[in-house]
Formats: sequence, structure tokens, C-alpha cells
Amino acid sequence: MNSLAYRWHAIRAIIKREARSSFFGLGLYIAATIACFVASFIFNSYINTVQGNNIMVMTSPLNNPLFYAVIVAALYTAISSSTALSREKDKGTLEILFYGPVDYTSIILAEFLEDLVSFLIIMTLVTLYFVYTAITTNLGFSITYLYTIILAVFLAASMSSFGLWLSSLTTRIRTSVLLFILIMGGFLGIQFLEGYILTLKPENLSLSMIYIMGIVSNVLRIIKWASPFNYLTNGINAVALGSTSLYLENMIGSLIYTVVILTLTVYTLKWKGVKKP
Amino acid sequence: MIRTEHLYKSYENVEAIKDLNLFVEPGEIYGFLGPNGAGKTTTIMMILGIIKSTRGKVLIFDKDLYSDYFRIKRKIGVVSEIQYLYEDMTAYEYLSFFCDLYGVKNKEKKIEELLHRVNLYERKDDLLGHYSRGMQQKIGFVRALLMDPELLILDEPVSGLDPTGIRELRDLILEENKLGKTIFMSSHILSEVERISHRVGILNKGRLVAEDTMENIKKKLSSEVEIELEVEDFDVESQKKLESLPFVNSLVREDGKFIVRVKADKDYRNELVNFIASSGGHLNEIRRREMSLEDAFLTITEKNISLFSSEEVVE
Repeated sequence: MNSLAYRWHAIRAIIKREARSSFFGLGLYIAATIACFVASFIFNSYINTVQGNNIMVMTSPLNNPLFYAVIVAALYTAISSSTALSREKDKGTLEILFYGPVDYTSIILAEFLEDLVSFLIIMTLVTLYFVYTAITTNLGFSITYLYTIILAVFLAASMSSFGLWLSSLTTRIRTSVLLFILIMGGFLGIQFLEGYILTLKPENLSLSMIYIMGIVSNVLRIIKWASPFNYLTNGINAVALGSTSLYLENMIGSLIYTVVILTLTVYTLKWKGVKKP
Repeated sequence: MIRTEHLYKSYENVEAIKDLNLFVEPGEIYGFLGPNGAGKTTTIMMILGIIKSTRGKVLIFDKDLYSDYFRIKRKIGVVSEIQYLYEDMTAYEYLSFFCDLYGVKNKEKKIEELLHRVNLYERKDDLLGHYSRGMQQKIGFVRALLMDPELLILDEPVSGLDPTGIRELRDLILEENKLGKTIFMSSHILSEVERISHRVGILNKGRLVAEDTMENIKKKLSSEVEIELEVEDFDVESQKKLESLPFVNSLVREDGKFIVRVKADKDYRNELVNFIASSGGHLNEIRRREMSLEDAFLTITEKNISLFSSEEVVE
């Protein structure tokens, strides 16, 4: 057997074990339920708006609820991946895996792919719910649904890679979760701040204030490239706007982001080690 | 089989391992000893590539681990002090997972055969979380043997086990050694190491201070040997004459027996028997008092002796 064959054995075995654990656990089903619940809520508000404003024609009424369901599923993926490595380190099981012919790349790829498998299971359950909704309400699907699902896989990949990187930094589950909340909160804050800056009217600001705002805005624009939320929101906007170029740009952006972050995770795990604390 | 060359490991300003040069020969059982915190586990982790050394080289099967990582790792089985099992899995599921992970063929047959060997086949469908410490240790052993490795690295394998568990694992280690496997075993249970090791290495404060057969270590440590005599009709004058023999250092009486301290350069028991016979004494028993591994270990570690330099270790 060559190195690739060994890696493949390790990746397949870990995915199988983790998927079994997810499948028989509650997390995945709770996430799917929340996603469906959020989608129902959004759908209900949408219908009420339509009814309240006497709108007769709606394009793709299931799109908006789907976007929110994708956000919930992607968030679950990120949270789950942010504890994946630290949980194994905390329990000492990661160290045991490294006694055999298993390397850092195999472990990280396995955890990453398992996250995608879990995400797809959630999206399958969500799709079943949407099919049921479409049948009961007599509202049809548009091709946008398929586009969203395909793009969602790329977005989940960037969320998962980011979560795994956070997980490689820590040795305790609790620290991982806290770090995740802190950094994600920071990223969301940055996006909010950027949005706020854009709403400010230059005519109401002094020259020095405009200059400072310009610098802050540019810094924020750079920082937000490190945020997986950026790809999530931009991707959803691309689908909503029906812009193919923006859609492809986000897909490629997510892919590059995922590869870079996963490589960084391999080096971080090597640096931090796999021994039980 | 394992060779380390000028291996160092530092954590911030502390040198955990200093200039470690150890050599494990193929087919032997090598006992790796040292007090708590001496650096035994750190050394094992460096051998396995789990911890990176600050300086120096580790060669396994005469190769650098990273020159052929997967193939070399496949030839090594590791049993640690604590097994850290997936407690939500049954023994069979756990071993099956590791077979898949390592790419073991005929996994059902292999698992069945190994579980029978450790008398756990009947419990194969029990959750590992319900296993006792000894049973978990056996599962760790089975996991290490799944790939039929050439080298077994055991880090405190019998620690925390009851006497039955210790005996079962000892038999397993000896069986595997008879099958040709090289065993590198760290332990603080000195009697176990003494019983089964062909050679031992003693690590003290991160430095290898002795590496040899037990016999040679004892020889190097002792400048004199104690011989116990049970003699009748051995008068005071004969005792004085015995004490003045050139190879005798001292003679004391202890619980009705004579303890003669003689030089360690050769076995003087024949000379003593002849002397007692010529002086009219009746010898009932003569016994050489052996230095135990514990005595040797304590002498080396407490006095900071290095058997490589015959000097005290300078900190």
C-alpha cells in the first residue's frame, strides 16, 4: 500500500465512525428541526406580508426560508467542527489514533468530510420538509433551490474548515466553544460595523471623520475575507440577485478559503500537538 | 530496531531530555526505567513522532520515521498506560474501527483470534465504558497487535493492574517476544522489568545513565559482593583469619549467619568453602546475595550516578 492508500483507509474509517456517532446522536436532528422551524417562521411571515399587502404574484416564495435554513445548518456545521479535534484531544483518543499509521492530513480531511456528510444529512431532512411544504401549499420549487443547495455545500465547507482550525488551537471542548462564540461574534460585529459605515452620509461628517471612516472601512473589508460568514451572506445574496458571476465568484472564493484554512489547520495541529492535556 | 542519536527535548527553558543515545536491538525486551518525570513518556512520544525533538535523530528500523511514515508506523504497536477508548463503542466495534483505520485484512478472523487470546471474546459485544481497567488494558494490547507489528512499544503497560492482570499481560508480552517481536517497555514496576527484560536503560533527569544487561549493571555498581554463610564449629580465631584473607573486605554476624563482603572481581565462593573446611568448620549453606534491580535503580537515581562515565551526573 502507498501513502495515499493508507490515508484513504484512515479517512474512510474516521468518517464512518464519526458519521455513525452523529447519526445516532441528537445534534444533527436538533439542527434539522431548528432549521425547519426557522424556515417555517420565515415562510409564515412571508405569506402574511403577501396577504397583508394584497400581492398576487410571488417569485420563488420558498427561497427566503431556505436561505435561513442553510444559515442554521451551516452554523451547526461550524459549531460541530469547532469541537471536533479538541473533543478528541480532551478525551485522549486523538493521541491513540496517532500511535498507528495515521497522519495530520488524514485526521483533518476525515473530520472535514464528515462535517460535510452531516451537513448533507441536515439538508436532506430540510429538503424533505420543503417538499412537504410545497405539496401542502401548492407552491412550486424553482431552479434557485438547486443552486442554493449546491452553493450551500461550498459555504458549509468554509464554515467547517474555519471551525476545524479553531478546534486545532485548543485542547478543551469548552475553550473551543468560547473561542468560536468570541470570534464569530467578532466577525458578525465587523460585518455589522461595515454595514453601519455604509449608511452614514458623508455630507453630515467632517473631513477628518470621512478619512478615518475610509481607513476603517478598508481594514474591515480585508478582515472580513477571513470570515466564513462573508461567503455565506455573499453567496445567499448572489442567489437572491440571480447573478451567475457573483454565484461562481463565491463558489470559487469558498473553495480557495477552505483549502487555505484546512492547510493552516494541518500546520496548527502539528504545532499544538495531539497529546491529551 | 530503535536508535536515538543525541536526542534533546526542551520545553521553554527546561531540558526534559538531554543527549539521549539509546539502542534497542531486534528481538530483545528492553526495559526503559526512570523515576516519575524522568522523561520516559516524552522519549516514547518522540520515537513515535507525536512530539518533535528539539535536536537529534530517531531511527526506527534504521530509517528516519518521516522517510517512510506509514510503512514504519504499520510495523509498530503501542500500548499506553491509559487506553482512552471510545466508551460508546463495543469492543468488537472498536477493534473493527482500528482494523479499518490501519487497513487490516480479514479483520473478523483477526479480532476473533486476538480476543480469544486475551479471554475477552465472550465480552466482545459489551460497551468499552463498562470494561474494568484490566480489560481495557487488554483491549489496548489487542489494538496494538492488530497489524502484527514487529516492534511493540509499551508505556507503563501493567500500571494499575491487579496481580492476575499483571501476570496475564506479562505472559502476553513474553509470547509476543517468542514470536520474534521486539519489545520496548517503560515501567516503574521494577520487579516486572527485571523478570522479563534482556537489557535495561535507566533514564534519570532526562539523561540515560545506564544501558546494559541487568548482570552488567549490577557488576558495574558493586565493588563488593555479599556472601551469606551458615557455619557450625567456626571459632573466633578462624573468623579472624577469614577476615584477614586478601579478598575479604569485612565479616559481620547477622541473625546467626556470617555475612562476608568480598571483592567483586571474581567469584570467591570456592575459596571460602576451602578455607572453612581447612579451619574445621562445618558449612551448611553458602549463598551469594544478589543485588536487585530495585537496589541498582535506587543507587543510580538517588546518587545521580551515570554508568557511562563512572561519575556523578553534573547538573
